[in-house]
Amino acid sequence: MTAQAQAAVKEEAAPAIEPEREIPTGWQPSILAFACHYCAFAAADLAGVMRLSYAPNVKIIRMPCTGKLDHGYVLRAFERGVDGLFVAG
Amino acid sequence: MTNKANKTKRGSVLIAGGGIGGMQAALDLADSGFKVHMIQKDSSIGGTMSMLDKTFPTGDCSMCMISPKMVEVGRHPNIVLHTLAEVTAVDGEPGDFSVMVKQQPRYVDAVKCTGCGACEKKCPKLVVSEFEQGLSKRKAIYSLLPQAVPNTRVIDPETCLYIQRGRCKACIKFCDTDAIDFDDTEKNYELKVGAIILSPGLERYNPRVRQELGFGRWPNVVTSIQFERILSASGPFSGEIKRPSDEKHPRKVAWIQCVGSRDPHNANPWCSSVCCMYATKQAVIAKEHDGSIQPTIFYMEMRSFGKDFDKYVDRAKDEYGVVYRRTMISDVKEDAGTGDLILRYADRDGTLIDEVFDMLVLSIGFQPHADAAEFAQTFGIAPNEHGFAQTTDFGPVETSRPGVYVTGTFQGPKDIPETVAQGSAVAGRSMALLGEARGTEITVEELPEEIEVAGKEPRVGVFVCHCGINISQTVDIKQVTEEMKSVPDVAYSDDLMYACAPDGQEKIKQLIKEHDLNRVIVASCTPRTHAPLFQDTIREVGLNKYLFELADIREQCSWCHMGQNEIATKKAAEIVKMNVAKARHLQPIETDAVDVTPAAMVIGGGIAGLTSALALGDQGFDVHLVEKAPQLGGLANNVFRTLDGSDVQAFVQEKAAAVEAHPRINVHRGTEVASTGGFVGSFKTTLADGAQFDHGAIVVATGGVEYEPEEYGYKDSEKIITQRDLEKQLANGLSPGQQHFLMIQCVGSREEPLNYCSRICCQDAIKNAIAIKEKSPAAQVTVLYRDIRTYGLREDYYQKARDLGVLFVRFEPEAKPQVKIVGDRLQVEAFDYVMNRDLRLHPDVVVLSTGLRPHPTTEKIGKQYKLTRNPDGYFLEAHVKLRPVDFPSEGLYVAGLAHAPKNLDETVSQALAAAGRAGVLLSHDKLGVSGIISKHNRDICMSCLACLRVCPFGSPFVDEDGKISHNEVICTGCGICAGICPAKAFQVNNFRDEQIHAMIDAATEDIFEETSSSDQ
Amino acid sequence: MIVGEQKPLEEIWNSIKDHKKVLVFGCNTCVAVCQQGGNKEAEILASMLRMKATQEGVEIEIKDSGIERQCEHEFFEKTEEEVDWAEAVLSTACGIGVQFMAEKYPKPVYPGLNTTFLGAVEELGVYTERCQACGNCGVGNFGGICPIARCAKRILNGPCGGSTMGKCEISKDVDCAWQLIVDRLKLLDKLDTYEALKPIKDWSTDRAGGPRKLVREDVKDDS
Repeated sequence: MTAQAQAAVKEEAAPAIEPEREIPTGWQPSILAFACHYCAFAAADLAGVMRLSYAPNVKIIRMPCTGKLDHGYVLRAFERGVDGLFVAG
Repeated sequence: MTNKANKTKRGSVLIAGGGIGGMQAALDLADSGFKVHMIQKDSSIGGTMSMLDKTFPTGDCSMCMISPKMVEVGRHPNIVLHTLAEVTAVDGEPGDFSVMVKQQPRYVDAVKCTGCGACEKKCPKLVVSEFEQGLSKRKAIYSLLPQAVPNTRVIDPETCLYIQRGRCKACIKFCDTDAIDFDDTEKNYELKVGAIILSPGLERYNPRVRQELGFGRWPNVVTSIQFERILSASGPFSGEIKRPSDEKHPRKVAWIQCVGSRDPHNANPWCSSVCCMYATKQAVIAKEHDGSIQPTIFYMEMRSFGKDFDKYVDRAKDEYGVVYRRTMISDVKEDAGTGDLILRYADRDGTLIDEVFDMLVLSIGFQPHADAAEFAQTFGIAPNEHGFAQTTDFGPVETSRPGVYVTGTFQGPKDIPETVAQGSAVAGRSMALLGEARGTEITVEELPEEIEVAGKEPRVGVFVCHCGINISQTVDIKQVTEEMKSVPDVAYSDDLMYACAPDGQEKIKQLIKEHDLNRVIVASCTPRTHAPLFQDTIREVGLNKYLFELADIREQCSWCHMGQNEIATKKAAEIVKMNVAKARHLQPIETDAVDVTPAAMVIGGGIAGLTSALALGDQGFDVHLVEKAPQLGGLANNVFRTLDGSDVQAFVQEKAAAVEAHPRINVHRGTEVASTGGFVGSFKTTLADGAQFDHGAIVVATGGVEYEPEEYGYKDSEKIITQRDLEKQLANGLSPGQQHFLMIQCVGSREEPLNYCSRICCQDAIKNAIAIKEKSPAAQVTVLYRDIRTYGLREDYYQKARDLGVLFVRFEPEAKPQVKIVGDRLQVEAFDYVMNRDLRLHPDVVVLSTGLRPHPTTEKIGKQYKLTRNPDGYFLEAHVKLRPVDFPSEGLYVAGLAHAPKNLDETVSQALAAAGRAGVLLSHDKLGVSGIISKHNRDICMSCLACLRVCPFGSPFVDEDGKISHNEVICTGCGICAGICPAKAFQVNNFRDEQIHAMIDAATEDIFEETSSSDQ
Repeated sequence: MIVGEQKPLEEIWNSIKDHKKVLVFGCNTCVAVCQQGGNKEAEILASMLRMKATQEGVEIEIKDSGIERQCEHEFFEKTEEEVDWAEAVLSTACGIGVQFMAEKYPKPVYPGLNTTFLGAVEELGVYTERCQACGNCGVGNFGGICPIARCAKRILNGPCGGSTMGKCEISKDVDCAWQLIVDRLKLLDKLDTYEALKPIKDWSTDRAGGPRKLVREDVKDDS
């Protein structure tokens, strides 16, 4: 069954995606990050400690582990208009 | 241990050295009720490990592993840190020492300092950074490293303009909390402790001594520790690989091994144990950072002797294209003008080759600190001939002075997990020594009863911190504070200069009471270091500590968006709002505690099991030792001498007798475990002979077996024997006469299907070779080997064997020696790579150095306790670096050959470590369950078993009624179960779906409104 | 357990796109265990469809809900309101649930899954067929392995000539059921039952007799 299922996935036509739109000048994507408390969140802290400058359009939600990530979070974020998700752990 | 003696024993331990070994010992002791004084020479704890980028063989980030430990040590109520301090005198006896401490002035008041770093920014004096190995600069007031613990800056009096020349004081001017104190002076004081642990760590060889390698002369020749900093994301080049002379990205990078090691003439005679592996790691990581790098490692012998090390080297070769060249570099020149380096070496056939590299890394070895002799004298311990602490194979963590223990590289070169294991071992030894003095010197705080919050409307209090100017110079604090006032459910919003300062915390407490706040948000720095502090603060006024959230607007906002004030202010407000949104859904969390049975079961009665059992018994716990065989001693029953000549049989007999006689140890011989039920703290085991007992911990010390060779004609001639046979013959008085003994190494090791190093065979061969030559110098010994792996101080014996005339001939696995029986003579054919020709030898005896295998019961025990094993069949520890004797399942520990092949002294260290770790657990009457755990709602669970299958800790289980239940005691709160559960029956406390959803919604508030409005 | 597999999003979208209010309705028993149609999957699917609608520029309201089992009346009581709200329902239950729901409500009920087979959970994420519900179980004669469900040809006196190295000729990833049967019988020391010729199967209990019905007179509530 697995082999068949895999085949089915391959054959499935690529879902229609939103047609490309022109990016307005000055547009900034809105990015949400899910970061593991123990590593990626710590890395974000370290970036600050080292005064590394990066674009401000990313906000971080702390997770106990990226294993906690739920499909629901990802979809909810996209539905609410984020342009990119960054899962790090 | 009589009661009378106990009265005089102190419940405190002094640890000299705050590296990873010292920290492990400190945490183990402090977690089990001992007061710990940690003496650290530097201004921060962390030691060598905090300088490393990644660690072998897993490639884990070093800082990510050690930083949480440092924070834990810094915050632990039972650990007192004495930084910039040294011990000057030690008096007294085991159980009651008096220690004199000298502490250098820090010139910064740790109580007043908030760690904001404004002083450092304004300090005008730039000096070379020692931590960055001279590759970058620091200020005269500085932190040793960004993640320093304690997070209090220190003034370097040697370079401070005010101290040196009487002017400047910029730091005073810019310190808002008045923490700079130039009147600070050296302090001398006395500490009373029951035991002493030495963990001073190491120094590195200075490669300037070996001038031919060009260090100090050619800028692109760096040391391995410099390269470690170059690799590090927090290092001088932010993790980009550049060479110092022109900051160009190097393509060809060479490593030279054994710089400062295995060289009695220009450097140290010993092997530093870790350089082969760290060079491999650096080459692999360099390649990961920059795929165009071509690494070459020049080496004498590949000593990848540890668990899964050979596999790592194979991967480096096969997957990363790291080139290994077995040759010495005789000369390094700089190519004038380019800064490139020309390395001269002899090819396999002897041709001299000049190869050009962009950069050269010298793999420098370990050595004791320059003041090691003085250090040993201060503590009254005997050093060995090389300046390391003198220990024995049977007492690897005992110094010559009772009550003073040693861990880590001061005992001999070793890697991180061995250091950590010894850290737990010395903790265990101290626990055994101090026994019932446990708990006598620690204080337990009284807290008010918790205020009922459930069912009340949320009243959120928001405190926005300026952190001096750290946040306020980029974020408009007043604006954020004002904006929060209009956020629903925010009952109060205010700003504080330093939320974490004592006055800031007082104010928070007072305002909680005044405004009847039931959820608290502090917007300041990172929750990783500061949340526990504020949680304690709100708990002091009766709020459950999980009603707190820390909004990180410093590390994750003001510090990384400097100069973009408007945008940073907007982002800070959004971050706070996200946390307010979460806070609305916060609920008080009750933490449970379960009973602990103060007894352990030790499976296996070999050296590891005997050692663990004795250590636990001495700590005062009941022990059930289960041995399958009718006799105790395990594999060691066939071993007669250690490499250092100690009598193993006497040792085994002594240990076995001590175990049999121990009032707390119950020996179950000739039986095995039938079943074990329960979980950490309360196991119940039934043995095959029907015996039943309760226990709180399990030490798995099931040991290993020797490989029985099929190859090299072992079964065909009585003259073809194993090292173990030879050892027995020597012990029984064999006279070698003028016979020729030919030893073949790596029999059944380092080859498919069991492609790993058995670690002990080189030592065995050299031990027996020395014994033969010492008995009869006229006897001939030839050792056919692939790499001689006499790592660490064992190298002395390799040297000794060569001095005694033992011949070493290398072979490669593609051209293995051929053993033939011609008539009644043995004939061995091999290829000699030094003379570049075939060899034909006619030894009288062929001795096979056979490897180790896991004990056959390993598989069964693994299944019984759901313990995973590596591809070679050895048990996998919880974490290769930092939890070397813990299993991922709580309450189970591993020691000895069951974990991996190792030498006897290492087995003893590990067994003591397992006893130490188990002791930490068993010392508690109750086991507190963490607040951040996954909660299982059985009503909506449909027992689909997805959680059971994904949980790495085994906390969901099929209960007696046949449905899933959840054991919260062993849950770590990772939430993998919550992610996979199709019924949403799992929710992680403080990371519940509604809380995360609220954060997502708050984070997208502005864009969501935008998109919805633009759609319409 | 009934195993289902979510239909391609495009197919689902085409079935619901002309409605204005759609309820994605999960079934939290069998198809939840195979992580295809439980209430959580319904939530995920609803979210994906809402995004699809945005991308297509179609105005459509999509909500999600679900119950314990869509094949029993009483479970539907607590979700009456939500079902009433919807113009159409996308059920992520198996074919049983979809039909049962369709019979209950006078509105379109579309399937979100393809009901694939009756199977076991070999490990997380791996489901394999074990039973075809033929209505006349004979696995006892085959060492506990059903040749109807697991032999591609459903032969009762196997193996056929296509069995190679224990694998079926249709794919080297598929075990030959008859190899399994023989191995099992050998293990049970019952190879003699293999020797015995199995008679032609009476298929009247299978679908051949039309839709099946079972009544337990003793439990049935006649009041």
